[in-house]
Amino acid sequence: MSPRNTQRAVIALVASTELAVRSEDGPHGTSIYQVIINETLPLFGVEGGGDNLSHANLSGDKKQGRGVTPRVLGGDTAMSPEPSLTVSREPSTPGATRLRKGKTTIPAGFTISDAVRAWATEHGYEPYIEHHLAHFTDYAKSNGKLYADWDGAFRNCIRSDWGGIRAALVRQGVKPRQKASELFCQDEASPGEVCGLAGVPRGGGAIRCDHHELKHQERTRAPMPPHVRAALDKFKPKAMT
Amino acid sequence: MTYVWEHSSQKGTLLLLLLAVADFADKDGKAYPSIRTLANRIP
Repeated sequence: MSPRNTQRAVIALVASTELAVRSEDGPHGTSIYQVIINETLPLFGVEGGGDNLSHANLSGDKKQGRGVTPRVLGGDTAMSPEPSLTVSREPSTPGATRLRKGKTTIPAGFTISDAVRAWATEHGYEPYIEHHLAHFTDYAKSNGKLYADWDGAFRNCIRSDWGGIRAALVRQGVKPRQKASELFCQDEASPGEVCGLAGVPRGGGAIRCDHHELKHQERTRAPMPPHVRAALDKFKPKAMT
Repeated sequence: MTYVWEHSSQKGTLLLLLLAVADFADKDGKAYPSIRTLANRIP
């Protein structure tokens, strides 16, 4: 690698804040380098010599690096010795850590919002959402998941049945509730009325309440053949005289 | 060097350069190789 390209790479590392350089402060006029990867490692001390801490001024080269803003550590106009990474990692909402692109970790105390509960009720997922919530929060915390919209992610969890939670509950006998749009009795004998037993409107729906299921069976039952009716009449108890 | 391997976010040439600097570092974490020395370390 050529010295010029090496110098450019050093400038790139300095720009990424993983390397600090103090120019012409080492033996034989070389620069002093210090690797700074973690916040726990100290930067160069700011005592003395802060004036010549230009990262673009490497090995006595007075030219500034192209495309890289010279960063001065120490001196009157020095930047804070704290790494700049800590600035962009400030949590924006309580309990959530904003990391990149607006995505955050799961907020502390994440629970089911009214909007999600209303959506779940409308789509018939309401009996399962508490189980979904337990699975979702454990999954998000254990995997350090980042989402920009946690309510939306939770709706996806419910809709796609992450972890097979809903399927397992259905196998255990927890029945889904009908969608609000399906809560109409199928019996169209008197559409528009409310079925008193089922408590749902009659007509046009996808279900038939128990009360109207019996009536439906009576209406659709085939008439009894004459010879069967005659045979049954023979066994009728005679009236007491 | 182990610390650089485990914690650096760099890759490729920049990681190699960072490792070269770390290889020269003394107990205080400071190194003062010349640019030419670093350049010779990187093929």
